[in-house]
Parts: sequence; C-alpha cells; structure tokens
Amino acid sequence: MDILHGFETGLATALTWHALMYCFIGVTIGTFVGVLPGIGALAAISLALPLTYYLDPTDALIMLAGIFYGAQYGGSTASILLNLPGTATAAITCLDGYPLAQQGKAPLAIFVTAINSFVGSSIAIVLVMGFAPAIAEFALEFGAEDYFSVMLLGLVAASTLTIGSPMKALSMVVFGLLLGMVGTDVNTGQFRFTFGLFELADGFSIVAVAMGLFGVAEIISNIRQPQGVIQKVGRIRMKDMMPARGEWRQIVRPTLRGSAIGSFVGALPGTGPGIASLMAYATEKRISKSPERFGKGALEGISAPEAANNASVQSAFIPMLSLGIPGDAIVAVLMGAMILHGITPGPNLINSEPQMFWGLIMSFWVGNLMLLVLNIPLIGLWVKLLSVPYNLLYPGILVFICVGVFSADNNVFDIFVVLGFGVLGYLMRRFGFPATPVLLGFILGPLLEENFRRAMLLSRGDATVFFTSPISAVFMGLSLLFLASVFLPGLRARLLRRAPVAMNEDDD
Amino acid sequence: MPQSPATTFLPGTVIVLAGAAIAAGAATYPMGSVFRPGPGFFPLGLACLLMVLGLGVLLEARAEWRRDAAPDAQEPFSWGALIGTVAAILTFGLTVERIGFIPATLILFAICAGFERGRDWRRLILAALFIAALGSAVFIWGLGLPLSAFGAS
Repeated sequence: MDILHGFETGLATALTWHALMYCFIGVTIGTFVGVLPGIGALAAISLALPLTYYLDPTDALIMLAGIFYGAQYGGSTASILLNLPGTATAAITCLDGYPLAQQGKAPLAIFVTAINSFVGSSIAIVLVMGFAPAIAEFALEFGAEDYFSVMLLGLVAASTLTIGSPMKALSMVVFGLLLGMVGTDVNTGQFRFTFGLFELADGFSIVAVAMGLFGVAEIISNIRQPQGVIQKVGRIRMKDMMPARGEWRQIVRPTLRGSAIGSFVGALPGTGPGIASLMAYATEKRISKSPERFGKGALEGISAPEAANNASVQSAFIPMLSLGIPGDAIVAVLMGAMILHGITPGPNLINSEPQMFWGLIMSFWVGNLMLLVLNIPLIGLWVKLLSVPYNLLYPGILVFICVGVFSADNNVFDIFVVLGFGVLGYLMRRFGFPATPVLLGFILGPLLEENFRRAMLLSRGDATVFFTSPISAVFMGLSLLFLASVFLPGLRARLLRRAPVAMNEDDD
Repeated sequence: MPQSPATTFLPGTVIVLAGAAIAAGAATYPMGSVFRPGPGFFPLGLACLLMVLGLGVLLEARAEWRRDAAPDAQEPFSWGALIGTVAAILTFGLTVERIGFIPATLILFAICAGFERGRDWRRLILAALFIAALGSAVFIWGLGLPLSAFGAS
C-alpha cells in the first residue's frame, strides 16, 4: 500500500467521532498526569488499559498513545513553575525553565515549550510514516532466529544505555524475563512458577506489574518529599506568551536540532525520551556561543530538550509498529495492550491492520493539534491543578490503582500483586536498580522464549543458527558490542561523557 | 550516610539467592532436548544467568566499598511511607469485597492520613468523598464492575 492510500485510510479512521473522542480523552489525561509531579504516563496508561477492554482496539490504542505523548507536553509545566519535573523526562527543562519563571517569563516559557513539543512531534511523525512501513517490509523476511536476536538487542540496549550500573540493569532484564515465564507454558501446557495459585495460571497481569513497579513505587518514594513552591504567575495572558521576534530567531535552530536528536534516539530500541532530552541539552550547550547563559534561563535550554523528548516519544513507535520491539517501558505497555486486544505488533501489522496502523499515525496529528490547544489557551487550568497538595492527591491515586488492577480481571488477587510489586519497586529504586528493564523483559520474555524454541526446532538443535543467519548475526554482533562497552571501561567512559548528568530514567 | 556492609552487599546476595531458588524450581520441569527445548530449558538458563549477574552486582558493590566512594546522598529510608502505603492497599484489598467500595475508600484515606505528619481533616474528608463518588460512578455504574458501593458484593 502506498503512503497516499495510507493517508486516506488513516484519516478516515482518525476522524470518526469516536476516534476523535478517545483521542481527546487520551491527550487530556496525558496532560493531566504530565502536569502532576508524582504520577507518570506509565501509571496512567496501565490504569486506563483495563478500561479499554470494551473498546475497539484502534480506538483503545489511539487513546493510550494519546496519554503517552500528552504527558510529554504536560511535563514541562511543572518543571517551569515548580522546579519539579512533572514527568522524569522533563527534568532537564527545570534547568532553564525555572529561572525563566523566576524572571517572570513563565508564560513565555510555557508557550515556547508547547510550540517546541509540537514541532518535535510533527517532525518525528513524518519519520514514522516514512520509515515504519519500509522497516516492516524488510522485517517480513525475518525468521525466528532473527526475531530472537533483534529482541535480544533491544533488551541489551535498554540495559546498557541507562545511566547507572549496567550490571544492575542487566540483572533486572533477566529478572523481568523470568517474571514473564510465570504461568502456563504455551507449548506444553506445563504450569510454571505458579506456586499452586490458580490466579497465576495466566501469568502476572501486566497492569499489576506495571502499576506496582511504577505507580505504587513512585507514590511511596514521593510521599515524604518536600513540596515545591509554586512560582506565582497570576493570570496568564496571551500577550505575555508570545515570543518577540528575536526570541523566535533564538529558538528555531535549537528546536530543529532537538527534533533531529530526539527522533534518532527515540527510534533506537531501548533509549527513552530521558536520554534524548539530555543529549539535546548537552549539544546546545556545547555549540552555543554563550554557554554561560545556560542554567540561568536560556530559551535554547528549554526548546531543544522539549523538542527532543516529544520527537523521541513519537519515533519510539517506529520499532514497535514495524518490528514489534518496544523501546521503553511505556511503549512496552502499549504493546502489551495490543497483545491483549489480540493484535500482534510486528512487520505484518501494516498489511494486516492498515486501518489501525494509519489510523494511529493520523491520530498523532489530531492529538498534537488538540494538545496545542490544551496547553496554550487552557494553560491556566493546569496551573491551578499544581496547587493541590500531594497528601490529598495520593490516597486517591492509590484507590484508582487498586480498582484499576481489580477491573483488569475482576479479581482481588491482583491488588495484592500490585502491592508486592510496589514494595519491590520501591526497594529497587532505593538500591539503584532500574525498573524499566524489568518491564521490558516481562513483556518480551514469552516472545523471546517462543522464538528461541522455534529457531532451535527449525535448525534441528543447532545453536549456531543465531550467528550464521546473516540478519541475526548483525543483531547479535550489535548486542555483543553493547555488552563489550559495559565490560571494557574505556569505551563506556567515552560513551557516557556525552551524558554526564545523573538522572532517574524510570518514570517516563 | 555511611554505607554498612549489610546494605552494600544485600542486593547482590538477594539476586544470587533468587537465581538459585528459581533454578531449583525450573529444574523440576521437563528439560526437553536441544532439538525441542522443554518448558524447563529457558527458565533454567535464565536463572543461571541471573546468578552470574548477581555475582557481578556483588563484585561491583565490593569495588565501590573498597574505594570507599562517598555513597550518593540518599534520602533516609521512609519506613513510614512504606508501611502506610502497604497497610492502606492491603486493607483496601481485604475489605473492598466485604464492606463495599465507598467504606473501603474512606478507610484507605484514613490510613494514609494516619501516617502523615500534618493533616487537614476537613479537606481530607472532602477529597475522600469526592474520590469515593467519582470511583463509584466510573467503575461501578459506568463499567459495571462486580463491586457494590456499600456492603458485600
């Protein structure tokens, strides 16, 4: 199918009244959780996931994806006004956004970040439209061993590219893979690690695992955090938001550079928007003629990272839609949602479900336009939300988490599962173990095992097939390269020098 | 906060032990053959890998400990927040099917408030009632979950 035809199908899907409605609900929830520090897009998507069981899969995906990119818009608002990132990926925006607010330029900063977000997203969506079908076409020739290797590459990349100990991240990937083994083995019907619990016959519920590791763990570590002091903005008027001509000129190039970096980084499996915005900021600072302005309210310092994190969020759909490989935890949950709806993401998706693929992409345009409206004229609403104290907010979130996991299966058992993973997630956080690899491993585990067994069967037990099939060999080689970078410290130091600021990658 | 040896080596040890336990469990499932790997094959391999990585984490911790690198400034372990949240969720899970969604929600708010330092009861009660009403509307009447607002379901 050519792209023009795809356009048409997509628009026809994305512009139906129900798709528009769910898209709107999605981006509104996304902005809402993005603005609020202490609840991320991941928790919101997991929460909304059970609600989508009753929907048409395309509408469901449109809504869940809307939460994902909507949160990237909202995240910067709290960074600017509170000096607290609304989502972890907006952490870098604090550096220059908060000083701008202190200088009384909060409206300008908010406007600039919204525009940058829009530009970043748009550029990346164009790339998704161009690349995803091409990559999928190429991937149609993949055999089981190639799938195994590309998934392995995704997992290895996700754990070695994080900031922090790669050893810890790798062990969490393996732990996640093992979590994915729990339940009934599809090939033989053997129950594995169910401890005689009937509730575990289908494995852990993805909603419970995700909400525990990210939602509950996040709440526990936020409860005693001091509240930020909200910067007084008063009424935000359109007049104050508009950048002057010189300021426009100042942000054009950083925005484009940020979008480029973000699109590229986002499309790599295993690298999230956090790394993208970090790299964009570092690049701007390095090439700037006056790097001393950074950290004191430089417009470039908010526009490049904001463009980058939105671009990376959109381009993260490239590997997911074309290969079935999630790049970060949120995309992994979206993929889990597709699987729950009986759709397997992968190279066949575009041909077998063109209306879903193109509908989703067209809904990105629609959703981003809606977000522009939500985040510029209606910004006052979100600012008010920031003044709600956290100790009133979090018990409510806990209630919704409990009922949310309950609704996935109408079973109280999952409430205890979410609790268990919440405690585990908090402990992991405390000891510096990342949670994202656990979730990636958990979702990819069954697929990885399935392809491994199929590859072994087809090759008659010859394990060298992973290195003799040319496509697989390339991916295996890349994985080994990433692993080598961990164990050869010199190489790693060189890679890490690009991202010197330590930050928490978990909740994006 | 100086790191005690216990907290330095605890995570790695836990991972190694977990790997060993999972391996022991996986070994009870049929292994199959290399031609047709059975249900025990993949988990056993992964569990062994987990043990090796756990050793890696231990080695890393030892290197850090020897260097006596100043551990990154961490906020104190918030036992209050942890216990409060656990108690709140546990109680909710145990009660929601017996006494209904609205009372369970109010109890959850009360437990959370009990573990807070400063509290504003009037606003808390308002928030609790708001969430209870919203939750009932969305989940019970809207989505038809098999829960009742009041009483056993």
